[in-house]
Amino acid sequence: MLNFSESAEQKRMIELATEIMEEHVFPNEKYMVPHRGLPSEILKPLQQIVKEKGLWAGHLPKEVGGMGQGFVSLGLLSEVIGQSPIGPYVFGSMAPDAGNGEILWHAATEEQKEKYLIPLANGDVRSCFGMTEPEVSGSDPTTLQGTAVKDGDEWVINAHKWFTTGAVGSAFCIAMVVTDPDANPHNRTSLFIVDTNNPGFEVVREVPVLGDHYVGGHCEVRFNNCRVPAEAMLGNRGEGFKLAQLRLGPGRITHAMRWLGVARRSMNEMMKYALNQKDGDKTLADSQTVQNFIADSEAEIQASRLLTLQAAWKMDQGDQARKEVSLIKLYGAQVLNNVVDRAIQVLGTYGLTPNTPLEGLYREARAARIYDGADEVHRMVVARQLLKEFKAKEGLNEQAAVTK
Amino acid sequence: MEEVLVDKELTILKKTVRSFVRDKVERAELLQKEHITELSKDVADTLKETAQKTGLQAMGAKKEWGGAGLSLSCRTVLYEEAAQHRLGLFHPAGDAFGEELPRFLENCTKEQINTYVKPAIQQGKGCFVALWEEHEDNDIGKLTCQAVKDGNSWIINGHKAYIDKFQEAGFGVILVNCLGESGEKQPTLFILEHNDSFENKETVLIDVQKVNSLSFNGMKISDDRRIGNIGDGAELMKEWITEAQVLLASRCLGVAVKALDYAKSYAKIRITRGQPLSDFPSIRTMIASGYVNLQAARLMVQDAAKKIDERAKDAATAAGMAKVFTTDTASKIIDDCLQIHGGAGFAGDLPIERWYKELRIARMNLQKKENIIEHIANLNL
Ligand SMILES: Cc1cc2nc3c(=O)[nH]c(=O)nc-3n(C[C@H](O)[C@H](O)[C@H](O)COP(=O)(O)OP(=O)(O)OC[C@H]3O[C@@H](n4cnc5c(N)ncnc54)[C@H](O)[C@@H]3O)c2cc1C
Repeated sequence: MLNFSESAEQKRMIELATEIMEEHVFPNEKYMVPHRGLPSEILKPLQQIVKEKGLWAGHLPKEVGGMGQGFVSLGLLSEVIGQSPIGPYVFGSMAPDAGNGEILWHAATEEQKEKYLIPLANGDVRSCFGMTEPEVSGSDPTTLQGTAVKDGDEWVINAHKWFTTGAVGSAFCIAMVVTDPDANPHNRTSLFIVDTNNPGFEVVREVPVLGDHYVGGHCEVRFNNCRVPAEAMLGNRGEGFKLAQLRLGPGRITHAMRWLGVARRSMNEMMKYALNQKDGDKTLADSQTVQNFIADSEAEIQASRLLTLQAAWKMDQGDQARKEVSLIKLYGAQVLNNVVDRAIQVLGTYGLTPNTPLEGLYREARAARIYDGADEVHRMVVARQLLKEFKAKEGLNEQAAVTK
Repeated sequence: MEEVLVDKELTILKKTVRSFVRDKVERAELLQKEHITELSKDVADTLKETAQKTGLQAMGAKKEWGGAGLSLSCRTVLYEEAAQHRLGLFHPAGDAFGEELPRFLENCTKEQINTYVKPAIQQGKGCFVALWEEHEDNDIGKLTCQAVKDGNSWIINGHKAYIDKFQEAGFGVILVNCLGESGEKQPTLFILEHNDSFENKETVLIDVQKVNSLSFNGMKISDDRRIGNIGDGAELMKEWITEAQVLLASRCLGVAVKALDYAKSYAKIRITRGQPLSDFPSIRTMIASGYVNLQAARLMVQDAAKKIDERAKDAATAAGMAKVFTTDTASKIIDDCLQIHGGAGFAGDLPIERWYKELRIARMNLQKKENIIEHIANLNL
């Protein structure tokens, strides 16, 4: 059975979220500070409103104050709140905190949950995730060089990381480092929770970057003989890679749906401008070229949307949906960039001024084709998976071209 | 007469520009420790002095004005070199060679030349162009800024936007519609001075380029500031746009060359899954296609420059074609280069993210694709 309609509950959620966006989120965008987001005296009361309306932390289970409604609902909500760069912060569901919350939920001990997950889930603290290192390819985490060495009851971490998003102002960092250099490549690393006030944890600098919507910068970070107790390990020894992957599946759904929100917002900017801009007796919207931009954007947005919701649905059925998740990551990031680019083209140089959100969205959008797996890596994953399926089917002499 | 250099002379000049950019400009950029968005005034001034000593100054301006009087064909070759550094797309050679002056200044009176043009050239300064308006940045026919005659003066009302290098310029030129007796629009050029009584606001395009907008509320300007005849302004501006498109395109070639250099070097040293990126067909294709398109773009730029130098009938069309193709090509090369660098491409330690923003401006500058395409359609249909 195929059914494309939202449940009554989902409809209510979308309406409520839309209302909050219009009343509280969009009007506050003007207070946004580059790399810092909303000042907390503005942010906190807005988060309180979201909590009271029951739309807080869509990615987390009810036990820790989240919504626990599954991936399809999470996707639908992300689409609405993603329309504004501050939306996901107001709704308590933004990378890297969202992914960290998910790992903690799955892998943390009771004590760790108490100490880290609860305040994180509540929005009392922020966190960061330190995997990528400047010296080695982030696309291939088996090459990580940072280490943790056991010393009595403690681990001593030495590592150089960058793109540790949000490190400025974070309470803790989940670090991925090598604990077992001799194990097979996927079992070499483990995760540790490191308090950022640990004297061995150093934020070297905020790396200057193209986009400025993430809160707390994209930082270069060093762990200098950073000592943590044995209890700081998150999950089992050697499970770093596995847990980091676990963080990425749902993260890609929320990213992809958030991007659709951004794309939709850009579409709206484009259409609003095209309809208002007079060209003699006509408007810009009467131009077939502009109409082509609009139609192509809609086609891409719809395709990406259905792809993403289908992946979310599969995940709700307990499927990992690896191929689908790679597809939406690859395709969704491109759609996002295409649509924002077209919107700017319609507005002309005006679209590059700070008078509209487009230039900021354009700069931020470019990262989507890199983080959580670069285009080229996802293309490879999708193709390999399809070839594998094809080969298996050919063996059975089935019609190979149709994959479900 | 413009100087037509023989190949050998041009080759020597090109080498001079190249070593100036590598040894002086790039070094100056590297020496500034923080994330660099502009050269400090001291550094810029020193570069200018050094350039003057080598005779690399006001390359396009007429010899009798104190310029080098080089043909556009020569200048495109030199600007491709001059743009090959971080700030190079909009500040070729760190602006050390002075600014290109619009050709319409040839219509200035002797007095205007002596008062405005020659001093600007001497100081290595340019001329800002107040052409577009906030919501009209492509069609000269749709501009609204107006002037009405008042004795020996004109009263200007209206608004101009997206003026690049406003502060740095020695003077400016504005296009306004002078209203004729029966209210007909007669586009005309006037010289502006910085202390004329307009309001001036600075804004930043896509976090990288400072531009100014000017508001005119009944500003009075004397008729002796007029350049050329009343009603000639649009044609004169179009000539400028034609030439400026080719100059912009030549600088885009320069940053694209540089981006490909970055991409190549990085692809060879960055290892993933046991292989350098340069072994992966996805990456090889990006780089190789970059070279293919870059060469096509370069030929189009040269073709357009030659046609402009020869004042050929189809010069404007050739310039538009070169502009579209080159800005699109450079955008794609820089986008790929950013992709190849992964996170490092998104970071400002390298110049790639700056070029990414600047190319988005370049695609919009002067004439955007849709207008050029429409023009070509009109010609052929
Ligand atoms: C905005 C942003 C936020 C980020 N936040 C975090 C964070 O919070 N924590 C964290 O740990 N990291 C973070 N990252 C880092 C991100 O995860 C890495 O940038 C990403 O994994 C790619 O790694 P890399 O930058 O080392 O690029 P590399 O792995 O060096 O790859 C560079 C390029 O090589 C190409 N390439 C790679 N593999 C292949 C292949 N198999 N075939 C063909 N081509 C290939 C791709 O074009 C790729 O873009 C963030 C990055 C960005 C841009």
